[in-house]
Amino acid sequence: MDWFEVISENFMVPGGRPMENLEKLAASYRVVPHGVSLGIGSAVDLDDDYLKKLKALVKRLNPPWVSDHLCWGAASNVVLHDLLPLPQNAEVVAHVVERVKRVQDYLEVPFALENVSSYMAFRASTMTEWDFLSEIAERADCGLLFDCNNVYVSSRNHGFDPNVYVDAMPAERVVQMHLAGHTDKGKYLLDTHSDFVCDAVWELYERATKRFGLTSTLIEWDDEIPEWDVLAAEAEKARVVRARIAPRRSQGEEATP
Amino acid sequence: MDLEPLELAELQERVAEALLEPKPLMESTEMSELGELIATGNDRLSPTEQLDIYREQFWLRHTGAMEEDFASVVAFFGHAPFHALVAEYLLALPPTDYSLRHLGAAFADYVLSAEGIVECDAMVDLIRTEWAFVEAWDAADAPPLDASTIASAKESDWPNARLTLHPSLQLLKLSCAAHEYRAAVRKGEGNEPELRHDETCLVVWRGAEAIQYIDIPKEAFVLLEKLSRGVALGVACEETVTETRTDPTAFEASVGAWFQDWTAYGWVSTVRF
Repeated sequence: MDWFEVISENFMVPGGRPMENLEKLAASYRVVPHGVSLGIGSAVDLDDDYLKKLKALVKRLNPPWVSDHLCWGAASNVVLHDLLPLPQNAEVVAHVVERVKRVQDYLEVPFALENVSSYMAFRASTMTEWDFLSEIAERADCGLLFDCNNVYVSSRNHGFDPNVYVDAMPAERVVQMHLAGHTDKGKYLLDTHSDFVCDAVWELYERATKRFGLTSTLIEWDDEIPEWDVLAAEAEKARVVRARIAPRRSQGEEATP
Repeated sequence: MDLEPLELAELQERVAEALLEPKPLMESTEMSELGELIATGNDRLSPTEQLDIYREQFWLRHTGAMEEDFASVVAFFGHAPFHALVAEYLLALPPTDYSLRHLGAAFADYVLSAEGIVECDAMVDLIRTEWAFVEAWDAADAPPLDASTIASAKESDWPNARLTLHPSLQLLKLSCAAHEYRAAVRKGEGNEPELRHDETCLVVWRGAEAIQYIDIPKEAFVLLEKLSRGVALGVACEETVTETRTDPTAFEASVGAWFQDWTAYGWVSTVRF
C-alpha cells in the first residue's frame, strides 16, 4: 500500500490503543485524516473542541491535507452522525464558504471537501450538485475529495448523468479520489462501503482520472470487510486504471475525454 | 400547506426531529407534511420516503453502535427488548457528542432511572462492565512508575504517599460476575452463559497487549478506590481497615503484596511523598 486514510474522530482521543496503532502506521506510511463529523454545512456553530482535537491530530500526522464532507450533521440538541445533504443554493454556498475558510485558517493545512451520496433532493435547491460543490471550492479556495461512488449513487438516485458531474469539476482542485461499493435497495442505492467497486464506478474513475490527472486514490471498504488480499486487489485495479492512463497523458493526449 | 423554503437552521432542526422519530415518517401526518415541504421525491420515492431513508439509517447506525458496545447486555436482555430500551434511551438522551464512541456513556444511569426493567441491577452491572472496557481502550497514556522514586523513599514517608493511578484503570463494584458473563458472550461459543450472582470487585485496565481485568479482594478494592481519589496511603489504609472490619495485622501483611501486584500490572503511575 502507498498510503492510508483514517477516520479523524477515531483518533481524536486522549491516547490508548488507537493512538498506539496510529503511531505504528504513521511510522511507515503517509496517513491522511478524513472526518465524518465536522458538519461544515450545519447551521449550528462549529465545535471549537472538535477543531482543537482535530488540529492536534493534524499536527501529529503532518498530512498534505485533511478532508471532510460537504454535508451537515448536527442541530441544536442532537448530533445525528450522518452525512446529511444540503440544499444547493446561493445562501448555503455563502454559509459553507465562510466556514471552510475558518476551518482551513485554523487547521493551517489544506482542507478538502468530499461530495456525499444523497437519497433526498431539496425543494430549496436552485443549483446542480456539481455547480454547488465547484462554487464552494472556488470561493473557499479549498481542495476536493472526489468520491466516484458517491457521484454514481447520487446520479442513480436523482437521475442525472454522472459524466456531466465529472466534467464540471474544477480539475486542479481535486487532491484525492474515493472508490467504494454500494448496496442496491431496490428503489434507491445506498452508500455502504461493504462491497466491490462496481463496473460503472470504475468507468467513472477512469473518466475522472483522465480529466483530473493521476490523483491519490483510496478504496473505502469499512463494512463487511473482506480478507486483505481481496482489498489489496481492489487497490491494484485502481493502479491498473492509472497505469493505462498515465502513458497516454505523458504523450500529450487530451486529458479530457 | 405553505411551501415556502425554510431557512437553513430551521430546516435542519425539523429534519433532526424527523430523524429521531422511531416509526416510519409515512405513518405520521405531521412528518409527511414536512417531507412534502422540504423534499422533491422522484418517480420511485415520495418526498417523505426520501426523508425516511435518513431516519431509518439513524436508528440502524445508533442501535448497531450500542449493540457492538454492549454485546453481553444484548445477550442477557434479548435483542428486541434491547432495541426497545436503546430507542427509549436515545429519545430521552439524544446523542450530543461528535463521536459514536461516547454514545453509551449515560446508558447505565438511564437504565437505573428507568422503570420496570427486570433484573435491573444485573443489567446495570453488565452495562458498566462493558463500558469500562470501552473507556480503558482509549484512555490517556501515562509513563510507567519510576522505580527510583520508591527506592529512595524512607519508611516514614509512606503514610503520606499519594498515588496517581493509570488513566485507563476502571474500578467496578458489582453484584454479579458480569466480567465472566461478558467473556463468555464475547467468546461466542453459542451456549447461553450463566450470570453468577456474587459480589465482585473488578479492575479493568489497558495492558501492554490487551484490555485486561481481574477480580480482586474487597479490602484491596476499597483501598484502591481511596487511593484513586488522592487519599494519602496511611489514612487510606486506616479507613479501609475500619470500613471492611479487617484484622489490622492481616491487612498490613497483605498491603505490600498488593502494591507489588499493582505496580507490576502498571496500575500505579506516580507516587508523591
